[in-house]
Amino acid sequence: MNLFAYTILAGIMYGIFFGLVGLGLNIIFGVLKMINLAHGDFIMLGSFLAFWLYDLLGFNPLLVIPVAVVVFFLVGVPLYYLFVPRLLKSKDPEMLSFILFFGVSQVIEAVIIFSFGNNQRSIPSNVFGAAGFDIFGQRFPSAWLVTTLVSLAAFAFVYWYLHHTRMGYATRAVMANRDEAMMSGIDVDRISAFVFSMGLALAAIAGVFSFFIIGAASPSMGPELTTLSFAIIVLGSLGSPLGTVLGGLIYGVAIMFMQSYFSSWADILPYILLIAVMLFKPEGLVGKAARSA
Amino acid sequence: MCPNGKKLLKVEGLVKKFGGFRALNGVSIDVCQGRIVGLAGPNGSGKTTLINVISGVYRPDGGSIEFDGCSIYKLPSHKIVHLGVNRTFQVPKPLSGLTVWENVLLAAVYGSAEGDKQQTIRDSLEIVDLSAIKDAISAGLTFAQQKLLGLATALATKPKLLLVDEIAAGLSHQELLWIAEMLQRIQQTGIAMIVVEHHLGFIDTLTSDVVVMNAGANLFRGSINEAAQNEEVVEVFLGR
Amino acid sequence: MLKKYFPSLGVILAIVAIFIGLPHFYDNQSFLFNLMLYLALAEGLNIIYGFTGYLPFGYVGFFGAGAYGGAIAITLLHISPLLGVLVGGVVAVLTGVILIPLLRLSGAYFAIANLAASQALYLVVANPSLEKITQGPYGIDLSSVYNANAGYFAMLGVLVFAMALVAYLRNSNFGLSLLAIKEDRVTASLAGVNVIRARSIAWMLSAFVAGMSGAVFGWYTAVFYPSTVFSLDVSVFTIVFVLFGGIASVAGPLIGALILYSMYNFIGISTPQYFQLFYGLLIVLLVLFLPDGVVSLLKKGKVYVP
Repeated sequence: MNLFAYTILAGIMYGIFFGLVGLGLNIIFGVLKMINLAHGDFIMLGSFLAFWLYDLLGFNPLLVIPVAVVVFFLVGVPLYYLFVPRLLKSKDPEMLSFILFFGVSQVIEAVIIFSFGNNQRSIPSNVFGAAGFDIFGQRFPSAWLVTTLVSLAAFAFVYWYLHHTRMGYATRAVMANRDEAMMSGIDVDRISAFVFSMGLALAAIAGVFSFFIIGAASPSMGPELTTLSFAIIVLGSLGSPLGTVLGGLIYGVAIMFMQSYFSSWADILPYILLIAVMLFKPEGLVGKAARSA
Repeated sequence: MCPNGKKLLKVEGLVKKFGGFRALNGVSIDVCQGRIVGLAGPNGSGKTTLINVISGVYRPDGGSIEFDGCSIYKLPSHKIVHLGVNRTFQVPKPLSGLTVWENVLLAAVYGSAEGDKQQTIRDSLEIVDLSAIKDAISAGLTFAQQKLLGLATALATKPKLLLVDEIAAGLSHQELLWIAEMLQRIQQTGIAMIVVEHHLGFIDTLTSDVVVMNAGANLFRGSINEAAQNEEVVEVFLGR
Repeated sequence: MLKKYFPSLGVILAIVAIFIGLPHFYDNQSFLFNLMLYLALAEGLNIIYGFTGYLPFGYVGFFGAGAYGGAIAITLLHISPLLGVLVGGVVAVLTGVILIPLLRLSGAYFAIANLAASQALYLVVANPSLEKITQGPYGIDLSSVYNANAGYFAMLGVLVFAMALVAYLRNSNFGLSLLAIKEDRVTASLAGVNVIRARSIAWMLSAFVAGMSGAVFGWYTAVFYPSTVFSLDVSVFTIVFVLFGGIASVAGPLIGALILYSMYNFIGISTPQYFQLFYGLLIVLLVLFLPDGVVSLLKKGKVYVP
């Protein structure tokens, strides 16, 4: 019973974080209808940014968040204008963007190996204090609580952005129909560049906290994280950012149960989930109603 | 009743839903061997959906479709083609990377078991007058030529029934007369047709047997003249 | 009718001559072996990607399935390695049959689901609880049947088979029907093509080539681990070669693999990251400026590409 309660609680905390892992990918898909195959590598970049700032300057991971936002907007906007408008005009945007971002993923991985070596890096989980905290008599590391709160804050921010700001309103229009949004006078490229950068920044923030949930970061972890993120957003609902949290929760609880009860098969779970959902419930679990969110 | 006694196509109570919307709501139609039936109706009445369901492009949600004595309900397109039904598209969909000849070749080889393939291809191109440009890449064809290519590929599968979807749309008056004459020539080779057309004038030159659809169901069947007298038909065509 | 096969046949004979002749002048057999391996994989991927448009990111799954299928058959059933190569191909085809439902997915969704499938397969094979059959993560040892020269010529045989398949598709009505499916499924099926059957056949042929390649690789290498034969790099290399060379011809993937794998071998082997960087940039540039590969330049110059 104890193990069961622990598993559920840990699964929920994990799940909220995994929602954040998929959020950036889903928000970009929502606006561009493209799969950012370098998503996992941007998560990895976030991890290495956090590691570097911690190692060199002793930065607390929470302080890395604003840095990541600035850095990835500086990276994201030019990257968007360099690639995306051209891709959208090509004869097969879905497939070509997929391949192009795969190339980007390879470049990022190589550059990080050049800069940091092909080693695993980590930040000790006691940066947020060694004490830990109790929920319903179960003890969890403080880093988990911080990670969960940061992830929830990220979702709250995206919700606020989409539903309570002018740009968010325009973003939802672009998500619903790019061409119509353009006709109605929305600067679609400006909105898309902004959301694209926001997606990268969210991925990086997930990377900053991945040390405490996933473990050590390595330059080659990108593709695996991309597949995992894709599984999560397909579970939730493609193109509906807030549905991601549901996908994250299902994955988080499921992976916790696997680790507690069938640990040797736990690694395989995201892949099986991905294939199963794509084949049997391709519209995702949230379905149509939440799609427009 | 058919004058020659043989019914080729018998569709009864056909239903097709998109989500909650019933695009076809119990429509029925039948075609006699070698005859042309005109299918008219306002936009959104379900004409093209009916063609799509009969040709297996969409899966039906109820009713029955019998062709030449056997059910083609829910069969995949290629099987329906093999039994002898083919169709054209309002917006033509040629394989744009292939040549005109290759487009028709594919249909001749895969669409029908019998006959000399080379001869079939030549005949199909001949009847639509595309022989001169058989080696052109089909992406470079004009809209009208692409429509003709669609007709040629359909003919190359040796259909007994041809479903012609709005072939006159977007064509000039001259082209229209020419196409009407060509469809008559095709009919003379023994091929039955359902000719979907928004304008009754075009249908009038081909047949006196017209079915009018509205809201996914039958509204009227008879001659063009009777249709013009029918209050309901006039109402749906003119709007209320 | 057979005359149209002549250019393709010329290309195949040239490749055979190269790989029979070269070992007399150049003694790095393992490089030549790997080159043939990637030529065969590139042609195998060409069958499914070039002709039907499905990009199999998990192509390595068939390679690994073949390597393990062949090796297990050789060690447990004591069959000859050549027969083992065939078994490897068959095991990959069976894997392909299980994955046929993935072909319902379009474009990028298919690619990512296939990637997931290959990873799942890797984790199953490498799982310690299956140690009795697959040796789990500890790898396979085939040194008792090791024979470098036999392996070399077996690889050449698989390569010829792969090239011949593509030559057939390039010149036959079946190949034409696959290209039709790639362009427009509805139009293809109204031409009477059984879309589901045709694309499944292409998928299984493609799997067969990768499976046999994997089995020969296992035999030639003698000792290998799941992480080697299920490495995502195998998919990546093959896809890059095919994209670079150009799809749906015999020559395109050959050109891509010959140029890029040779470059990789002569420049990049000590620090593979240089090549990862180079490949990454190359992919980006190809997508933006030359999406149909090098042979599209030849086609623009009205040169017939076999």
